[in-house]
Amino acid sequence: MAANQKALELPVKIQRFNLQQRFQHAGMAISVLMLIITGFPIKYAAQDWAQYAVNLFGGFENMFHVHLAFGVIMILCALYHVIWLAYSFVTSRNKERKPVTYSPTDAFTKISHEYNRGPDIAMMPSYKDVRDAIQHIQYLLGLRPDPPQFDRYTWLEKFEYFAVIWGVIVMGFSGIMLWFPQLFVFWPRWALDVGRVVHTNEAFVAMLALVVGHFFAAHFSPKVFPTSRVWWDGTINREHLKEEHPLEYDRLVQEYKAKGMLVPDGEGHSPFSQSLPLMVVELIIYVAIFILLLWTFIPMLLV
Amino acid sequence: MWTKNAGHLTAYLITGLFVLVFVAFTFSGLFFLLYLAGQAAAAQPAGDEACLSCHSQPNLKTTRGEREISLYVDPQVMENSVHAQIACTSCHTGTQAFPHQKPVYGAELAREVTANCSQCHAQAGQDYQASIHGKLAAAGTAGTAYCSDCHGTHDIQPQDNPQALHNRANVVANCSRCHQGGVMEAYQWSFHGSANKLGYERAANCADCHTAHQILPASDPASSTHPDNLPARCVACHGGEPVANWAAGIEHTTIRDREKGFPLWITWKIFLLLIMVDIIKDLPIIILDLIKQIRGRRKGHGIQAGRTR
Repeated sequence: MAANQKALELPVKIQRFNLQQRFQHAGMAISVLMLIITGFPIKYAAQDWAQYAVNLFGGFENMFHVHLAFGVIMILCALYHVIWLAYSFVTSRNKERKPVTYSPTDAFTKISHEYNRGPDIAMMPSYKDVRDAIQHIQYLLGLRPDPPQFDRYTWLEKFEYFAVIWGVIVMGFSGIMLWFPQLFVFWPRWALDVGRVVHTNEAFVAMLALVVGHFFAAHFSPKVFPTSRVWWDGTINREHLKEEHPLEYDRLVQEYKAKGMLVPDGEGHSPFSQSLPLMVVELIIYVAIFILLLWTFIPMLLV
Repeated sequence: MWTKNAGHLTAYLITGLFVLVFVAFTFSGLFFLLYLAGQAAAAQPAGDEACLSCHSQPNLKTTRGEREISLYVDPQVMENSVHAQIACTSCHTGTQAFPHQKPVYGAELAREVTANCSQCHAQAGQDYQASIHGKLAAAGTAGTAYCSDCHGTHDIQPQDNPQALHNRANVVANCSRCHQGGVMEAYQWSFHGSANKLGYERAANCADCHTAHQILPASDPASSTHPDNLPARCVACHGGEPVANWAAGIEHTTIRDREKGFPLWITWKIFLLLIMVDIIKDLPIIILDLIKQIRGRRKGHGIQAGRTR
C-alpha cells in the first residue's frame, strides 16, 4: 500500500484540454495568424511595408490565394467545432464519468487525471461572471483585498471564446461576401462596400484582441513567459490551476479525496516566474502600447 | 579500281564539301549583312534624317516667353517606339517646311498631333472626339487629355509593354497625373485600388469601368459608368447577371465622407468603438496585473495567499 501511495497523489501536471481541443485550437491559431499576415498588407496597401509583405509571397495573387485558402480553413475549423460540440453533448449525455486513472509507470507524461471530459457548459456566461469582472477590477485597483474565485473558465477567458465566435461569424460572412460579390447583388452595392469596412475593421478588432489580450494571457504574462504549455500538451501545473481556477481546483481535490487519494498541500511554492526585470520591461512596453493605441484611435473616433 | 581509289575519292568529297560549306557561309553572311543594312535603312523613314540633323542634339532649345523648351528628340527612343516607321512630319504636320513657319508647343502641339493620330487610328479618334476629353479639347479647355497624355509622345509602346503609359500597371498612375483628390483617394482605398497598387494587374483600374477612349461623365446616358451601363462593367470581371443593384450606391467615397458615404462612415465608427472596447478592456487589466505581480513579488507574499489573481 505504501508503495502505491505516491502513485495516488494528485499529479503535478493536470490535463486541461484534450487532444481534440488542442487540434481545433491549432487549426484556428494557424489560420488566423496566416489570415492576419496575408490580409493586413491589403488593408494597409498605402503603407510602404505592404509591398514587402506581398513580395514575400511572390506577388499579390499568391498572397491573396493563400488568404482565401486559410479563410476556408478557418471556416471549416469553426464548423468542425460546432459539429464536435453537438456530437460530444449528444454522446456524453448518458455516459458515466470516466474513472480517475493513473499509471505510475507513465513517466513520459505524468498526466494522471482524466480530468477533461470534453465539452461542458462551463463556458456559458453567467451572473457570476459579471460579479467576477467587477470584483476582479476592484481587486486590481486595490479596492478589494482578495481576487474573486474563478471556476474552470475566468470571465476573461469566456470573453475571448465568445469574441472568437463573433469574429468568425463576422469575418467569415463578410469575407464570403467580398469573395463572391456577384452572388450578393440582391443587396445594393453599397452593402458590399459596407462589407469591406466590416471585414477590414473587424480584422483589426480581432488582431488586437489576439495580439494584446490573448497573447498576454498565453505568452507574455510573466507567469507563463515565454509560453503557456496548455495549448501544446494540454496540461496546467497543479499550483497554477489552484491559483487561477480555485473553484475548479477545489472540486478536483474533493473528487480525489472521495476516492481516498492524497492531495499534497504545496502551499508557498510558486510555479511562476518571478523575474522582476521581465515584469518591469513588460510594464513599460504595455503602457507604451496603451498610450499609442489611445493616441491613434481616439482622434479617429472623434473625427 | 573503286576499292583502290576509294581513299582519293573520299578526300575529294571531303574537300569539296568544305568548299561548299565555306562558300555557303560566306554568301549567307554577306546576304545577312546586306539584310541588316537594309533594316537599318528602313528604320529611319525618308526625311527624318533632315529633322534629326538638328533635333538629335541634346542641347537644342527654344524659349517661349519665360519658358525654356527642349527640342531634343532621342533617335534611339523613337526607333524603339511602335512609330519607328512613321515619318516625323506625319504627326508634326505644322513643321513640314524649314524654317518652321508657326511652330507650336505644349498643349497646342498635343492638340495638333492629336488631330493627326486619327489619320491612322480612325476608330480611336472618333471615340476620343465623343469622349469628355475630346469634347473639352474641341472646346479649347485647358488641362484636358490628348492622345499623348495617355500614350506618350516619341516613346509610344504597345499596351503589353510594361513601359507603356496605358499598360495595366501604369493606368492608375497616369490618370492620377490629372485626377487627384477625393475620387482617386477613394479608389486607392478600395480593394480594386489596393490590389492594383500591390501589383495585381487583374484588379480593376480606372479604364475598366470608365473605358479608355469613350470616357464620359456618369450622368451621360452614353457613359459606361451611367447607372444603366455600370452593371455590365461589373459583371465583365465578376460574372453573374448585370442587375441594377451593382450600381446602387455612390461610387468613390471613403469611410471619412460622412455625407456621401454615410453607411460606410457609421460602420467605421461602430468598429472604432469595438476597437476602443478592446483597448480599454485589455490594456488596463494587463497593466494593473503586471503592477500587482511586481508588488506581490517585492512584498514577498501574494503567491502564499494562493490566489493572487
